[in-house]
Amino acid sequence: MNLSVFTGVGLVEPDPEPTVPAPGGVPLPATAAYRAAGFDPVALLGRRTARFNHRSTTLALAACGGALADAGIEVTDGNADGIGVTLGTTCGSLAGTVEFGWDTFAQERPHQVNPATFPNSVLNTAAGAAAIRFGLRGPNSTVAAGPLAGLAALRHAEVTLRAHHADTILVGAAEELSAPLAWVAETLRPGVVLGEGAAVLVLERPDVAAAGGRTPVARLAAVVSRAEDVRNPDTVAAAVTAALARAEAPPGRVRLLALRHTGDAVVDAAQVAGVGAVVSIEPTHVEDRIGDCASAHAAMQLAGVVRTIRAERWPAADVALVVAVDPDGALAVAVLSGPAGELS
Amino acid sequence: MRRRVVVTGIGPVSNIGIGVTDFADSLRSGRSGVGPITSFDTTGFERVVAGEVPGFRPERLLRRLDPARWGRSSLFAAAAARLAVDDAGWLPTGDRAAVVIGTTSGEAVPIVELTRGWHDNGYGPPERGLATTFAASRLALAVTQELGISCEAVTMATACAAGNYAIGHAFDLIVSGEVDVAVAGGADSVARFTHAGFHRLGALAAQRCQPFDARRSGILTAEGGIGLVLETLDGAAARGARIYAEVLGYAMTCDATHPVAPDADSIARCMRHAHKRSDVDPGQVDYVCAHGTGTRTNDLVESNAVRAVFGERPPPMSSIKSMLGHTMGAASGFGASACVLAIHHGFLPPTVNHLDPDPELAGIDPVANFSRATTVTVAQNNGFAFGGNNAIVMFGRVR
Repeated sequence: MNLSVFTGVGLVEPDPEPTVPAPGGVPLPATAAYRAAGFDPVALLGRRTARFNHRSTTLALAACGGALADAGIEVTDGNADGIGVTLGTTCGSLAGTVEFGWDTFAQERPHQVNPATFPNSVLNTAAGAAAIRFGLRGPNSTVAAGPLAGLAALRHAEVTLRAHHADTILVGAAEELSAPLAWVAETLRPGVVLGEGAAVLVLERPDVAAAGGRTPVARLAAVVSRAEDVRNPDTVAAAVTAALARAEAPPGRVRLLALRHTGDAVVDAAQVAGVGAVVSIEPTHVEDRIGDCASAHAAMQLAGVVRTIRAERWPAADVALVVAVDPDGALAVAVLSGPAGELS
Repeated sequence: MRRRVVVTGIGPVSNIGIGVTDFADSLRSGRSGVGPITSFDTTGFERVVAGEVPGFRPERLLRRLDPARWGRSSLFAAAAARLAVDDAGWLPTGDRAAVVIGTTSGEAVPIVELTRGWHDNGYGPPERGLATTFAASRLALAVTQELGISCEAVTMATACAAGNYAIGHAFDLIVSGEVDVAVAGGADSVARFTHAGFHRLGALAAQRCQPFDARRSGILTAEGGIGLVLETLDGAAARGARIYAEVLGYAMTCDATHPVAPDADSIARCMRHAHKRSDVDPGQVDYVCAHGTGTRTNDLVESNAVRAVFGERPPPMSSIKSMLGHTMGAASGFGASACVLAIHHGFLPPTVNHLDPDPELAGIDPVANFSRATTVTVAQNNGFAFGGNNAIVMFGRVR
């Protein structure tokens, strides 16, 4: 059983209604999408930060700031070395990379790119920017895991905390809506309604939370992430069973089950059948509220689950499952529970 | 007592050798693997030399993957893992195993081609072969699918320190008892955008990479894949495996100051943490495999950090980037291999292309130009990255 606890949540969600792209500007697929049009990086982060960082980074920064504030963590010289960041991603900012590299084709000479935006083409730019903005000098990590991103980051953070590399880790993921991502989706999943946003959770060892005077709002009971044949329902069922066993939680105590449609019919059928073989409650989807938020989707589901656990004051024995499946051949399952009584 | 972790397999796919024997021979003889770029059109670039792996024929190394369905970096990762498990004599099984692969740019080549298509033809749906291969998350999946195993698979995207992050994370998984064996390493591809970025920063050398030289002028972008098989000392001993060296521990720090400029205090803090976590005193370190990119800034900052931790007479510190170029996410994986081979064979890999000592780097012994036969008991592998991501892994002779 894992003992890391969540002490804060930062979430940037898209606007509640999907919109079709406005005419003019960069051409986009005609499909509607859930845009965070109300997200104002300049107002939130200042003009300089907003100018040099790409949207996926500014979304991540907003969520990190929200998570720190929610947990009531003040970063000081005394604790900064122990606070780390682990963000999940697919390939960093695809739009940031495309915009940076575009100049190698568009300019007179191919190296006449914008040096200030070069970091936007590197996969760990958002995590590094979070460290700079908030002064977080602990382990700074980025995990590339596609649709698993939020859960793979959670798994990495959990292992890193247990090995005492850090005391506290901001863990999550961000995804921007952009022309490159929308056009890639148009090839891979025609008609999919995309979304954008970011979610970051504060994960720490219980002793660290207690020493800092922070009340756990939920507990990470287990998280598993594996490369598997995800077209086979038995594989999915085995992973869910393994995660619940690790959490020492009987399937009957699952109160909430968060799934995501992958867009691959065979994989989605295996997901529903495999999870359904272990857990009998109806799954929850958030695509009809935030769209498919790609790399950020699982992290946003996690944030929603933690908020539910907190709002409904779950006991430690009640658990929620977040399941993410990558049709490329991987899946992850997180088991979250109410905070343990003696810690709350 | 803490579970001990050893390296039993090394799988380099590099421009100085494919397979551990060729790679070790090249490290010892100081062979350079850089040359004119052939993988993309260099018209208009002023810098046209890089460390490509022209001899990479994935179909000759891979047994399960269809190269047509994977990007170049994934193929580097899978081929390196295949070589590593063969070298270890380990028959891959997913039971209590993990795969951790580091990268800087992931699948940079498909992303360049996506961009080229949109630039040339306007935005629209890209061809399926690009859309299905650009995700960096596929690097670790390429390894599990090549090895035919189901297990924990992590792609660490911590830029140029990613190889050390990957080895470190695999180490944590084994020490904590989560798994008994892991393939860890890194992969990246030479690509137009990376080359242009470093070019624009003025960080590219014209012909040669000359770390720690007074006239060093920058990096050479490079590529490759590297895999190491890590397993428990007990498991390796039980199956009679050849043991190269032990992983003693590792540490990570973040500068939290600047997106691209390194920070000596943060690097020194990382070294001290790595030593402490590995139960090593600075005086016990026989060799430092430098991050050693060959830029003016890196080599000075790294030397300052080393002198702050070790004093005025630090252990020999060479840069194998002088031979390979900067293989990005694979770089510290290759550095780890150099440390492990230094311990196993008893030699220090050289910094080649070293002509003029830099007075600013007084006290630094870069093992200039020729490898040196000597006993190496403890070796330190430095890895630093954009984002201020630092990771240092310590290796030791098994006692």
